[in-house]
Amino acid sequence: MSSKKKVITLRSSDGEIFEVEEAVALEWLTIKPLVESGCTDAIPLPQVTGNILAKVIEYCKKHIGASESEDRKILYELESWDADFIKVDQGTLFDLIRAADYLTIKTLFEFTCQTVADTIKHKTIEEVRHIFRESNDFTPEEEKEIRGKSWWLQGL
Amino acid sequence: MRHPLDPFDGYGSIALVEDDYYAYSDDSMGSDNSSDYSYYSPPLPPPRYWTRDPKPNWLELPRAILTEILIKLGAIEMIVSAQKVCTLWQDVCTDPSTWTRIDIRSSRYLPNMPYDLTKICHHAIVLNRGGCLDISLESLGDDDLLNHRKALKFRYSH
Repeated sequence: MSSKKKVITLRSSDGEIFEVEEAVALEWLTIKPLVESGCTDAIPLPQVTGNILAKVIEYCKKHIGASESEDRKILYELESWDADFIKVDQGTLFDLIRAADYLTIKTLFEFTCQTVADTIKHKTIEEVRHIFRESNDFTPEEEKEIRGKSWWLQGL
Repeated sequence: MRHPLDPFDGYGSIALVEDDYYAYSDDSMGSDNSSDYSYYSPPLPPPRYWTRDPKPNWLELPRAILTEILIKLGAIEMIVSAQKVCTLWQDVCTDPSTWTRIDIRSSRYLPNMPYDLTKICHHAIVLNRGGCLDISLESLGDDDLLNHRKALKFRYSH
């Protein structure tokens, strides 16, 4: 195994150029075949903007190798790093999910989806609607029926 | 029922709207160059810089991603609250393909939980219409549920 690390060049939708190690790019299943085929040109990623791609790369660099680590201290540090990493506004979180889905990065996708799920958890329906700007599109009859449903309460 | 002084009911309150209109037009609108119909037009939306904000349109999220998020929310929340948010969420929450994995592990909240988890689990199994591959439960389960072990790969932990 050669010690020299191969570098993959990526180009974001706004034309920014990023360089990542091959090991990082191999985690991205969408571009994995291209990387394996020994592509030396810049790989265009037309659905990811530069600032999001920078964050994605930052996350993957941090996580490569560390996620499988058995060392509790490393895992703990990684967890607190993750918590800081995801302190972003909703727009960035949304773009990160789209990017992780598009590039098929399993760890980042699971992590971002979990973050969204955690923000909804233990919130009322109105709060969830407010966060997601989902409008209440039930008819009044449906709404009444749904509101009335509470068979899951104990003792009913 | 509309309020009797609702300016948009078309009747009975035109005088009030006119008064308001002129009060505003004196200082803010300048000359009256708009048509007479402007009396009846709904209020203008706020300027763009008010409405513009960084919030994304979550409705644009592909269904597969929404499904993934709701699965991560957990079976209990999906049944108890998420399906009441809107018709799209209800559709996802009652889709059998969402329920290929049933995960009812929330032991941290169990002591205060007013929900009947066994009923929820039964409901989840009904929702998934027999296509379930994996069920994870904690601190619950009755004989009926355990009978599903024969048909399913069943992971049961206390």
